[in-house]
Amino acid sequence: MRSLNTAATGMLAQQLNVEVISNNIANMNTTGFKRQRAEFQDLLYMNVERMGVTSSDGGTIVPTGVQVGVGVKAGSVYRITEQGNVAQTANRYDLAIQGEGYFVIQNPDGTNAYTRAGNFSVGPDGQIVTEDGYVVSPGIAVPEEAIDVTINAVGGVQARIAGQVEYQDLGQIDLARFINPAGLDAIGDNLFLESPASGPANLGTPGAVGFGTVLQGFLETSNVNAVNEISDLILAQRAYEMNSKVITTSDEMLGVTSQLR
Amino acid sequence: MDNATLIGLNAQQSLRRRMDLVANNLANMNTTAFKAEVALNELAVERPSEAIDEPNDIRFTRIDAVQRDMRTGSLKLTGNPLDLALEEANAFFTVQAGGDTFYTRDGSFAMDDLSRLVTREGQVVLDNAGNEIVFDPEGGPAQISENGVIRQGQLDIGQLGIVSFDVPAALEKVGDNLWTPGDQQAAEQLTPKVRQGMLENSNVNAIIEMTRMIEISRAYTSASRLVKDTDELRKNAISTLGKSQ
Repeated sequence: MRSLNTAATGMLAQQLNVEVISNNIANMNTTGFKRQRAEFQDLLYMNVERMGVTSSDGGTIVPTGVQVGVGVKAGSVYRITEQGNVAQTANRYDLAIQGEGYFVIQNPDGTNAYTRAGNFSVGPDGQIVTEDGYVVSPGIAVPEEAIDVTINAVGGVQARIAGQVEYQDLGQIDLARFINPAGLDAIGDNLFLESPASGPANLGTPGAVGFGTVLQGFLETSNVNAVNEISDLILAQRAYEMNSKVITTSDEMLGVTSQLR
Repeated sequence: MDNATLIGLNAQQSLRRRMDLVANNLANMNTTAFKAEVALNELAVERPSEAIDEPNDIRFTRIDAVQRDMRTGSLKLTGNPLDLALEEANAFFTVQAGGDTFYTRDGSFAMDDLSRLVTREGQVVLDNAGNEIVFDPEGGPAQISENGVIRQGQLDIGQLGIVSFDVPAALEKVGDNLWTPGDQQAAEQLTPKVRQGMLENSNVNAIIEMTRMIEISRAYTSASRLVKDTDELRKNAISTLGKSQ
């Protein structure tokens, strides 16, 4: 019976749905996390009776025909790049982006990675680095004798050195933008890589047209909405159950047939 | 063979097909903008082949058509600016794949690396003149109006090609949430009521599908009983009549 297979595709789809939802819930408190959504599409259709054919001698035209679908498949799992809330942390190296853009991170192998998670700190050689110690491009070194560091909305990094009155310019943190940020390749650790789908990185100063601004002492929280995720989870679970019911019913029908003798 | 057996078998065949449709509806409970389907049966009246006197019609059943529920599913807020839902039931986006034009109500669009508006499968979404819709990557967020006009800031990017059909339910589904028109002509839909940041849910009603499934399962069992009882009847007849000689 075809309905057995059809229901199996339904169960597989709901399983993927639950996996995506559980990943969202697991990352509810991950800095800069963007929630994902699974999107489904119907599978191909079998034309049992084509539309538009003549069904009788009188020339009656079958208007809609009989098309039987064979189930569902996962179309795509995509990231919703909606802005998360910003939470105050009072840590001077915590940066949040308000608006579009990604921080540029230098991978140890020399390539660039991109992130929205701005929980930076200062590494052993004074450079501003990520949690994992990767250098934040372009590699701004904070002098040892700095007593205060400010990072302004347009990414300018300034420090006050002990014994001096004036702030000293240390450098400029630029942001990267992509034509299609949803097409970035997530590699874990809150990092993304450029991909053919995302298009090349477009560097610019924070606050320039199209770029977001930088907020010091804040972090962007994950944009997962717990209530939404839980209600999606309930829906997915019920849909899974109903598809399993279809399998049970199809099985019973087959059982009835086999008892015919 | 006895007519009763044939009718029983015929009923079972048609019930299996109905079950296939229910299974497909339930499998697509979360498919964006999916339209539920139900089989329509018709009577296929036949005369028995060997009618002696006062022949009765034998009423077979036959699945004649699939009826589609074309009502708009509930709309769901996604927060993605390129997710579009059509509130008007008879409205379809125009997309192009491999030189062919398809229609879809699944408006979960994205931008590709050439900053064109595409579906999640990468098929190009067309505007009302049949051209690609190209965004300005530097132009900031896109605003899409109720009638499908796309603006980026002050810049007009184009108007989505949204069409309607005389009999939307008679379009052919080809999978991937796409439809082909068959021999119908697309006409411009002037009031599509585009909703930005939303997606249309599947309009499958789980309760109806579950009750339909129970009904099918019970009907299948009773059709099977019919076949079995006829068989029993014939067996008894053979043994009774066989003894009498």
